[in-house]
Amino acid sequence: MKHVDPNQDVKQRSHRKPNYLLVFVFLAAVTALEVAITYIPGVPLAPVLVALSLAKASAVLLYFMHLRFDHWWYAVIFLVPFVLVIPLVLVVRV
Amino acid sequence: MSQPTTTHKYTTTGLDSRKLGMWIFLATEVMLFSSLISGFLQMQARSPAGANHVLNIPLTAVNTFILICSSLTVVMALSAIQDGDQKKLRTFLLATLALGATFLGIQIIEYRHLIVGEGFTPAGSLFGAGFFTVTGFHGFHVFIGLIWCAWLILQAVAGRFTAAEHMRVEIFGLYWHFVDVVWIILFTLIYLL
Repeated sequence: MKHVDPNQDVKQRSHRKPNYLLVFVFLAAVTALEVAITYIPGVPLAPVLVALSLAKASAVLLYFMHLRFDHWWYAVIFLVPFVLVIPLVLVVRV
Repeated sequence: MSQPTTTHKYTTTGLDSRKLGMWIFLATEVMLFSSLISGFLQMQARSPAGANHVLNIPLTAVNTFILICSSLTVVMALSAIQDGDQKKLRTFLLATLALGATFLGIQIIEYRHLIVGEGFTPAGSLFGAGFFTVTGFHGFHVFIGLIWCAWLILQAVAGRFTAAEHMRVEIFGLYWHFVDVVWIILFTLIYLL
């Protein structure tokens, strides 16, 4: 049977802590930018706003939820539904 | 570094089963909210252009900022108990509860203004039906999170968490951050686009 290190998850969690305040400032700044952009005429809103919101969501997932530092299995489990979800949303939009 | 204790529940992968379970639950939540968002986009596509003009963007931007603040306080609570700081754990959890309750309070004020002031109801239009369904489901998740947070505060006051055993705080944090991620997406799709 394959040897499993029972301390593996604890080791994953003992990573150096990210600068949470910096992540928060990034999230707040991008939110302010998103609102400001809606008042600027001529900006292609959909791609810009979707990109900004994905950047914010990624920051929360990677740093606040520690996906960047935790075991890769957690990221795989979380990302698997997107294989179904992305086509679903795209089909609905067409 | 803290050593694992026998109270940890490890799977054959070496991962903590409680945390693994929460990530699997969050994966199912991704599917739930994606279905709701898909339904909303369908309804929005069949609504007149500018159907979201009744929505208050500045107020919701403030609410988004409040939820982001609550994500910071949750992660600071986890960081505090990882360092064994019980007082900071309690303080940051209380701040999370207050911020979450404020978010929900503002959402209720928004609903009241829309329904009573603007006549914008779930039954009034396709966009209204989609809006109240999606934001209502999200608000319900915040409400569940508030109950969970209050329970954690009681546990923290009783001194149930230590630097070595704080998985329940971490799991709550995962849930709360996910609710934040969902709102980040909803804010863009519903209010800004």
